[in-house]
This record gives sequence, C-alpha cells and structure tokens, in this order.
Amino acid sequence: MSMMKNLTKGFFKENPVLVLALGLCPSLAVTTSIENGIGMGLAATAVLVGSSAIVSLLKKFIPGSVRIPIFIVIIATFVTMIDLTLQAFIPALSKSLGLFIPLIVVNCIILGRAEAYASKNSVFDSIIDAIGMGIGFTIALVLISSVREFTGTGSLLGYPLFQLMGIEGFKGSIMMILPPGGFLTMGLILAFMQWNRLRKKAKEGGR
Amino acid sequence: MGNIFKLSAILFLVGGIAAGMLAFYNSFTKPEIEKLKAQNESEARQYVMRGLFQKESLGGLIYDEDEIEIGGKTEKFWKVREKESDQYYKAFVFLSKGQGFSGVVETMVGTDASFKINTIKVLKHTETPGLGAESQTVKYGESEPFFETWFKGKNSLKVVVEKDDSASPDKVQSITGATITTRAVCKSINKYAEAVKAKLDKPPVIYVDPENIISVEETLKKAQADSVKAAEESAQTGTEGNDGGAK
Repeated sequence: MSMMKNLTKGFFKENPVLVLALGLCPSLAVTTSIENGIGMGLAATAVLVGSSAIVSLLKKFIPGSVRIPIFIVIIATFVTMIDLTLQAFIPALSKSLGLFIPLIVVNCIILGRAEAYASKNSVFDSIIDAIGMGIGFTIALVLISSVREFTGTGSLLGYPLFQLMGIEGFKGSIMMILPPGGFLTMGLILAFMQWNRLRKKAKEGGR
Repeated sequence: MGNIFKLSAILFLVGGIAAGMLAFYNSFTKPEIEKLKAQNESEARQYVMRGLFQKESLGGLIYDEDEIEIGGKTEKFWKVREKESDQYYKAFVFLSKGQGFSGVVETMVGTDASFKINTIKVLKHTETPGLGAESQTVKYGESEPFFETWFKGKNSLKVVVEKDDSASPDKVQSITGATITTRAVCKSINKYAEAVKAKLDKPPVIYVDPENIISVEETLKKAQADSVKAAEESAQTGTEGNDGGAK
C-alpha cells in the first residue's frame, strides 16, 4: 500500500467512527460542541501516534498472550504524560479538555489500531496509519458536533450565527445536545455512509 | 509453569518502567501545576473582590487564611483587609463546593462584611454543555458570564432559586434547563457562608450582622466599637480563645 493511501484510508474509506464503528462512546459524549470535538480529536491523535510508534517498536518483545495489558499500560502512560503536560504548560487547553483526556485510555480506536495494525507493521507505517486514523476520528467528531451544536444551540464554534445575521428567536432544540441528539445524529450519519457505500458497490457490480 | 513466571516478569517490568517514567515526568510538571493552581486561586480571589475595593488596592489586599469545617472536611476561606493597620475585615472570600447535575461545582464567592455577594465566579464544573455549562458562558457582546451577574447584591446566606422561593428578595433565576446546577450553586453558597459566619460569630465581632447594616461607614464604626468592647471584656475576665479575632 502506498504511503498516501495508507494515510488517507482513515479519512473516509476506513473512518474509525463512521465505518469501523470504533470509539463510539467518546463520539457520543463529547460532541456537544465543535470545540470539544476538535480538542478530543487532536488529543486522541497525539496518543494514537505515540502509542502506535512504541507498540510497533516493541512488537518483537511483547509476548502474544499478554499483549493487551501491555498495550493498555503503554497507552495509559502516554495519556497521563499528555494530561500532565497540558496541565503544566497549556492550562487553557487542559481546562476545556480536562474531562475527556482520561477517557482516551479506554478509546477502542487506539487499542484497536495497536492490535490490528501497529503490532504487525513497521514503525513508519504505523505512525502514518495513526495520523490518518486520528484525522479520521477528528473529522467524524467535527461532523457530528457541528450538526449537534447548530441544531442544539443555533451557533457554530460558539458564534450565534442567527443572531449575527440579525435573526432573533432561533434558539435550537436542547434535545440535540443531550444524549438522544447524539444517537440521532450518529445514526443518521452512519446510515448515510452505509447507503453511499452500498450505492457505490452496486454501481461497480453493475459494470 | 515457567511460562507464567516469565509472563509475570515481563508485565511487572513493563509496569515498572511505565511507573518510573511517569514518576520522573511528574517531578518536572508538579511544581508548574502547583504554581498555576495557586496563581489561579489568587486571580479568582481578586476577581470576586472587584468593585468592593478601589482598583489600585485590589492587588495589595491582605487575605488572612482561616479554616471552616464542612461535612467533616476542613476547607479554607479568606478574611480580607485592605491594609495591615485595619482592625476589621471588609470582605470574605470562600470557595464553595456543591454537587451539581454531573459532578462537583466549585464557585469562588466574594462577599462584603454583611455577607452580601459582591461577585461569584464558577471555577470548575462538569455540567452538560449547553445547559449547566452555561454558568460559565459569556454571551456574545457581553463582558462577563450572565450567570454571575444574577448573584450580585444577593445575601449569600439566603440566596435561593426562584422556583423554590419566588417571594424571596434574594432569589436568582435558574439557567434554562439547568435548575439543578443553579440550585447546587445557591445551596453551596448558603452552606459555606453559614459556616464562615458561624466561625466568625464569636467576639470580638469583626463584621456586622446583615440586618443591622446601614452604611459602610457605620458598619466599620460599629465593628471597631464592638471589637474594642469585646477586647475590654476579655481583658477584664482574662479569658482567652478569641480565635475569630482580628489580627
């Protein structure tokens, strides 16, 4: 597989959330605003890249039967280091993300990529794969959160669009930023992705 | 059998290395984090004292730290003086904590000597974005969070959510869809203010009862008179233990 393909496959074709359906829990929990979505996506990407590189580097020394606990220890170490770094040097970011960073430890995308990709491929390929998957995760989060923030509060990235255009009275539906809105949005987006995939497949089959 | 020991040894080794790395890393970041925390706390204290003192003196206020017991735990609060020679405290600051909708809400509260709220600042919360989290939101085009402005001038001992007591002069609106958060903030302020008042309600009186307050000057006069009287009394009886006394 070429490097470019390896990088971009995570964006849409094998998007971790929208196609592989991994990491749905954080995708539902943090996507109430775009800001949260971007922050969570970037933090997860940083952990993903670090842990993929280490797992791939150590793949010869990790015995198969205890690989999962070792992956978790590596991931947790990275998450804690990033958490401490943010707290000490970028307190503003730490404040807005504080809640979600410990959640990254249990994000299935990271463990999933360590298990399915990094433990079988070279360090360089693993890093490229991790970057691609991280970006794909961020894309999915931004997609879901922009729908939810807009329909839920009528604003995008904190800017009240309707008020800025001079239209008063649109306040959004609170349901959309509560859990039901998350399930609805995610379901509709997943359905659309699936429909699109099947349609493409049918076209290719018909040829 | 030998395999089990080998695997355990490997896991132990990995865990040990990870712990060692984190301990090493922590030794770098810990002082930074503590420094930032102390700085945030002092900034928040200054924030809630805005308007109560003149702008120039805000930076040089003297915060005398004291302790209160809340639910079996010891919590800090601060008694505020403007200068070293002041015989009375002009204001109090406390960090109230209360269980909100999905976690603890921490609010820095600044009150004057009659426990009237000057400003509050919601420091930490884990409430739902769009609902409880609105407590920190600054509306477009405004300079401070709308939630904080609702509390200005209310009696910290009695502040209550409008839904619970619509007749109270110290009622505050609740945030749309987040009555629980608003109630948590009100209740925690009541609780902490109560504890601070109880702690200070020993002679010599260093603040003035909210009911008797007429003007700031009279408050101070009365506070001084009371403290002198109490000092005389204690000198006569020779009793000790005025732990709430002005330093």
